[in-house]
Amino acid sequence: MDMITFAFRNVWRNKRRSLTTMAAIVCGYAAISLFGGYIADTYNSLQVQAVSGERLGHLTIFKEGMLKEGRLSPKKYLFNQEEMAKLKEIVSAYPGVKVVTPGLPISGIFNADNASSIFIGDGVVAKDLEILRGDLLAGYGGQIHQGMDTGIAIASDMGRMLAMEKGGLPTLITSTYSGQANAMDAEIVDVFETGNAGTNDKMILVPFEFAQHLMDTNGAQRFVVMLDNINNTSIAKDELQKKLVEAGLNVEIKTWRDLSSFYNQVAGLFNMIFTFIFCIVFIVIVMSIVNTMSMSVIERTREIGTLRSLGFIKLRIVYLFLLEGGILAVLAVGVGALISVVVATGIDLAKIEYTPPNSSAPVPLKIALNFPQMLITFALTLVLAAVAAVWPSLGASRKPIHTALNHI
Amino acid sequence: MKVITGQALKNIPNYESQQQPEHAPKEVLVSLQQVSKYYQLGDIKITALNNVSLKLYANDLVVVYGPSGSGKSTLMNMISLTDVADSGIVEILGSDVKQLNDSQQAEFRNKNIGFIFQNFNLIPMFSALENVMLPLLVAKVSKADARKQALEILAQVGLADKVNARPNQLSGGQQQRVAIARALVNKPKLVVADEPTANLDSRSSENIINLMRGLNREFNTSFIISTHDARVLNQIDHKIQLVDGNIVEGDK
Repeated sequence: MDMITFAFRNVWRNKRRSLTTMAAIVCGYAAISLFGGYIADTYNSLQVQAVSGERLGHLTIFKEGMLKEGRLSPKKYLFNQEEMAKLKEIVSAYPGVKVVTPGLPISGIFNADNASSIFIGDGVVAKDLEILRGDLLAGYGGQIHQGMDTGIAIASDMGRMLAMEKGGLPTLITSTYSGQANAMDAEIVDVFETGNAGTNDKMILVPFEFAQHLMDTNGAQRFVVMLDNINNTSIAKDELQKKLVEAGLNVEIKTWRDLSSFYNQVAGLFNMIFTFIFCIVFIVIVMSIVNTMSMSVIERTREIGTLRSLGFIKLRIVYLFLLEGGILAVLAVGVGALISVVVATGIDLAKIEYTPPNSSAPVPLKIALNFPQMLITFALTLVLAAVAAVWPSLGASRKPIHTALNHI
Repeated sequence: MKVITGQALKNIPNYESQQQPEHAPKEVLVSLQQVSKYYQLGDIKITALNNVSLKLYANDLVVVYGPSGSGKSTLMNMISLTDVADSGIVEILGSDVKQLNDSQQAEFRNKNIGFIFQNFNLIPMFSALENVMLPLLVAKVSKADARKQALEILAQVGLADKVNARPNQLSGGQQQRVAIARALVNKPKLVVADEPTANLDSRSSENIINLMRGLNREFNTSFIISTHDARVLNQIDHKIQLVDGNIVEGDK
């Protein structure tokens, strides 16, 4: 009769109570795991949206001061041809860089056949855009053709609003960097979803050279860098910053998280909700275990006295209850993990769609179970179960044996 | 065991043994010298044992009796190391129990003292066999040896066919037999039985007392039994009577 077997049998001594406690742990653990998985998938989606959808890449390189004062004197903070060539050469040589591509923002009036609207847009290199968007955004549109200088893509809500679709021939009117009005005819070659309700009625993508002509410049406002591994973002940022400054380029580099305020806001909100739910669920779990273990200790006080009279030392009594709490937690968490996997798979197979706040299109509801987080939750549950078991058993083990034996 | 309490000495709180065992020298198992124990009940201080002195020797059977509140249980607690005296010296097998720490006391109880309780106190989740194996496993005897020894002693108490039964599948008498087997399996020098027949019918009670008497002879183990039960008193020769925490009569 080893202690684990002894503890295991004791767990099933009061089946109803143990099962009720386990049910509380199972539900709590599954709720935390599934919500954690939902958040993880949301973060993944937001990350894809920021990196590829908003074309932030992993890193964006600006001229120093661009983000602070670029709106006041944008021309001052453009990279010239020489700087562009040097920067591209240095960054392209950095290990793990998939693409480094220039960008130029544009804005102005989008003049359709019978109506006009404001637009914001980006001048992008078509072949680089394909790499930047990758396979993850396939089906969402947004490809401009290589070799077609005037081919542009517009956001779907903008197209609906202005009754424009593929083949449409709008005119884009802007103010150049030197303050002159400029206009260029374009042809709509694609319609896309920005994924963001705030930009889906005004966003356009144009070829980089088209944007340069429209803004009457041969420079670029920024360079977007896509790495082969997002986890290297911070290292690459620091090292590229150093290399570029050493090469005489006065730049500042921002990560996609620095620039995606939407990601940061959503992440902040979800983290707060998750922490709140996590705390509530854990309080319920701890109280359930404390209640079960306390009841168990009280009911078995005489047995504790018997075991001590047979030669059990105090610590062995505590160890026994520790094991019982641990077994309860391990079994419940195991079932909770299993239920989480089944529910997550079920949701995945059901192909449920929903439209998140500020989103321009429905997205699939997915649960990306976060196994490291589940493991941490498991460890925390185990520790709390142990504490919940030790607390009452320590008190009972300290009772004089004759008092414990006479407990009613 | 010879109870060295001398003649009946009513109302004499400090009592020293005067009588020696018949076949001296016998090993002294328990020696209490001027032992007192008090309990606080609100503002009232209750004297459970009042300067009690006695010696118990190896290989005998003695019964402690007296009315409720006379100090029987307290005396049994002192002898079984489940409570500590407020004053006086308690020596079990030559060891001053005050010198033993908690772990040493636990080991001492495991190896030298068997317990039989009024309510049997078997572990409900264990079979009869596992209950009897428990003290051996605590003493770190291998599982195979513990099983073998437990089976032997269960056979000796007449429960060879009940080894796999859980306590709730056994009668009161059978449960107490399991408890006796558990108390004896480590071959202790002393078995402390607290009201062992209180929850048993007459027949079971007689059987249990006869069993303990037989085992006392067979195992050379001393038994000290506290009881209210006149049937037990009538079957055992050596007696200690307690009244108000004092030994008032011994070795009739």
